[in-house]
Amino acid sequence: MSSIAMQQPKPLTRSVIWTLALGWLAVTLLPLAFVLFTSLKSQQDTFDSPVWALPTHIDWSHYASVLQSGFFTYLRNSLFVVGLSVLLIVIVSAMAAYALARLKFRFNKPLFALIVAGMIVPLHITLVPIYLMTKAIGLYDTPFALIGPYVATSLPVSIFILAEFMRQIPRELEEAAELDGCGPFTIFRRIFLPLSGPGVATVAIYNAIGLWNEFIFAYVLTSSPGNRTLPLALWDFQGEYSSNIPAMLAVVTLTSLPLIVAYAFGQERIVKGMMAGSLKG
Amino acid sequence: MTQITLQSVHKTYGGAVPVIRNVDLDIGAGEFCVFLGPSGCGKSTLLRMVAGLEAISAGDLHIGGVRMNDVPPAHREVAMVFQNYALYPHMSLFENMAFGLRQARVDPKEIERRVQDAAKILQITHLLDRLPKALSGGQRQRVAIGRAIVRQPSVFLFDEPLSNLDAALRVHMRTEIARLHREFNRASAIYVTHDQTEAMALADKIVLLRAGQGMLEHGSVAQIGSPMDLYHRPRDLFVAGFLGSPRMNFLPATVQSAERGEITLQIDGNSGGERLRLAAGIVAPAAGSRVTLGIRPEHLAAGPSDGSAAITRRVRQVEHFGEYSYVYLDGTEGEEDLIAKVIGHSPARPGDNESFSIPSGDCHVFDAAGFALPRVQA
Amino acid sequence: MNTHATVAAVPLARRRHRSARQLAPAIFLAPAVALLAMFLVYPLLQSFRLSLLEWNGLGENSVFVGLANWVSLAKDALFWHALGNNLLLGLFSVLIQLPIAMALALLLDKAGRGSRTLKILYFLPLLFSSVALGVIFKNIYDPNFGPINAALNALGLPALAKDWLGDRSYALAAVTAVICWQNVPFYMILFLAGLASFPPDLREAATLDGASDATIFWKIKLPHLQGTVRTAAMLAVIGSLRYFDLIYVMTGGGPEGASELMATYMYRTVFSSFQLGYGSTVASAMFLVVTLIAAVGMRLTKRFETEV
Repeated sequence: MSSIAMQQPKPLTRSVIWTLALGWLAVTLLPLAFVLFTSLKSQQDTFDSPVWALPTHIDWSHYASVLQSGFFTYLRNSLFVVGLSVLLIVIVSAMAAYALARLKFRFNKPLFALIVAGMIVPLHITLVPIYLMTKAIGLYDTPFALIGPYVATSLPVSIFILAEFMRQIPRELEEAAELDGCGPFTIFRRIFLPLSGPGVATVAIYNAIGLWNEFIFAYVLTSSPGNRTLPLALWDFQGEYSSNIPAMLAVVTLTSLPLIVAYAFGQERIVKGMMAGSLKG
Repeated sequence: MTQITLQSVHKTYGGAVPVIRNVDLDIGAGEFCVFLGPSGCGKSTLLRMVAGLEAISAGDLHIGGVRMNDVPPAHREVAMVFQNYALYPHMSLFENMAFGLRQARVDPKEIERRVQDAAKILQITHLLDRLPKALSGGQRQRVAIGRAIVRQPSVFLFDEPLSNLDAALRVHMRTEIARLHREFNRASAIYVTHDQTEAMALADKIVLLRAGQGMLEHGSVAQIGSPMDLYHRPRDLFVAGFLGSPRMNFLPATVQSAERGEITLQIDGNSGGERLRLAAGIVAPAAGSRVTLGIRPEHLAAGPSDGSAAITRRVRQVEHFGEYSYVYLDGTEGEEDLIAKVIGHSPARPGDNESFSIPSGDCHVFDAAGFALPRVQA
Repeated sequence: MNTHATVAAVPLARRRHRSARQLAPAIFLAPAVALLAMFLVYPLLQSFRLSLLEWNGLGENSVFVGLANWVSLAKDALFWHALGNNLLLGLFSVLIQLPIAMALALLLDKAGRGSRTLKILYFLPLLFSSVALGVIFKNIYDPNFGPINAALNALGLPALAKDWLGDRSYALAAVTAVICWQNVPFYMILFLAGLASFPPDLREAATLDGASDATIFWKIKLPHLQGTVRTAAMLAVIGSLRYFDLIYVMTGGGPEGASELMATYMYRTVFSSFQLGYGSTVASAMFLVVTLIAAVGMRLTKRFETEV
């Protein structure tokens, strides 16, 4: 009975485990491998050789032509829209989270519940009214059209996450600061904001990824390619490369590359960031 | 000149739950006052009301002669040392101590001077650039104290500052705090603790607070006085039982007779109990009234009695601590064991019957309501 | 900091301090409340208002029709079919994604060596935008050029090589498969986090009591995870009610509405058929359905809430 706690699973169980593990790995990676290989084939190649075969020779022409047809404009737009949105999200949600987590006032609890309930609202229901509103204001088909909706729709989750973080900050620090003569604004600026670093990072990553891949609002609120974000590149290029499968898959690879590169540099952060909205349950 | 005055101070939560009732208190300049009491008695709440971190439901607070009920904490001339130190984790020790002064727009050169002075007194000059997380508990405690010192307050407030330290460190820091207070003896101090040893060691004046039903019936304050006052002249059973470890022995009894400075008590017991004649000089209670006799463990003298007041009980347990022993005796039926503290090694063994005499001068008699019967002589 | 100056300054500072305190919550909350009001509350209300109109979106020719749109909606077979698809999607999401995710989580929890690499690789599907995945799998499912059918043919099973996205009987299933492929890692990480919070002493105590691995899983670990499972199920169901991007790109809701969801139906109604009024009705109905299911779901599964 002595070594039971340290027992390794039996050999049979181990092989079953590893079979399942590798099985799912194949399921996960095969589609991606397919994309990569096919994008590197010339169009002729795709007609001639079998689908699963590796490229006979590596053809970079698809990538070249995509990069030259305005890909960087889409990238630039994405960087601008997502960058500005995340910045605003962090500032606005930090302020709101501080008020809800720490300031005493009537309606604090109901307001918080209401904001958190906002997480459930399916965004598509706001699509048409926002479309009409954007047109009326005259922001239609500009990158700025996206900022408002992006920031607003990200607020419930971000406020929820940051409020949780801020609740963890010991009350004694606030009291010490009060005794030191700080009003609520100073306490926010010099104590809560610096100490919420990890929370802010989480919120930034979570929203950055979500907004980076956002499709429907960008699709509806912008129309000319010069103003569109990266996910729209795929859509727009569909027209141009309709039957050119390798080219389409090259577009797919290129548009997904930025996020994959970011992931390569910091998977822990990105995984934690993406899970942020749900881990608290 | 009185530094701090509390008059008829009450505190209720949500307008319905009373926490503190009827506190009247004067603390003089330079006095070290300890708020002591069991958990739930509101001692921390009272401290925070003086600090301005909690609102005063009713009554008045004056500091330095000025009514402070509505004054924000930073303007009350107080400084507080928190239980968990409350050091800003993202600032260096220097910045931690300077923060309050910067908020008050004190001249930077003055800030530098004060922080360096405090650091020198507390022996943490070499740590000023570090962050709080790089420090031990004792060092953090010192920084917390330093932060209070640099503000040059009229009143130092301590909220159970030593409860997070290990035993040895606690004793050391206790003497440090006493030493520091002597150096700053124009400032008063209010110190909250549940540890009566700390209270006895540090206090010029102890405010012992009640909780629960006692608080609702008699008000929050059980007794105010110097440690020796409370120890030797407790006003009621609660005070008598709170100070002193092991606790005072209580023997329920009935008064047989009381004449000319001598009272005879019939101690409760299933086979009659003991009959004790005490020349206690206590104001005579009526014959037949119920009282409680209180005698501290260290006052029970072992060995054959020389007077007429002695009890003989069966020994249940003996504990030896080298320098002294505790002898546990059968208590009155249904009551706790009696404890006698014997100097040196007691020869008593469990099962033996041992006699202990009760010196009249050291006993306390409490009436049926629990209040001490006053002594005739001063 | 001498007494005189401070005491004299107290009244002024007191006033300033008090007003700052009172205004603070309002100031901190103002931007968030304004943005939420403008982009969440107002559109929500506007959507309901538009549902009472008949309007093609161009010009001022809207007609107030009261609840007529809602009546039509109640009788609209296409809508109910779409709703049904949403519910099927939700059901299969939970039934397929969660067990696989749980199995993988347990696997990684046990595997130790190599599990970190596996975890990194398993997470990849979540990095792709739904549009990208739509294009990728549209190609994979392609009956003529796609790798699935190519493989089936090569294995000598041409009968199994269907027109996955173009055949009404398979479209919804094919789309569901992709959704599962994308989301399993998400739930896997969720469960891993839950398993990580499992105190090791409990497992050791159970092992000493003679429990087998299977018993430990069913009787101890699973109950410990019930809060997490509940969260996962709620997220899966609510998420499936809101799906749009992937479907829109892969099938557009077709063929012939086989894979239509409420969101794609709404989109088509508004932007293809130019029926803003009716489209808003669909959108508003969608909101009500989601809120209802979320509320009911939370109540029904309340007993699985983890004690915090």
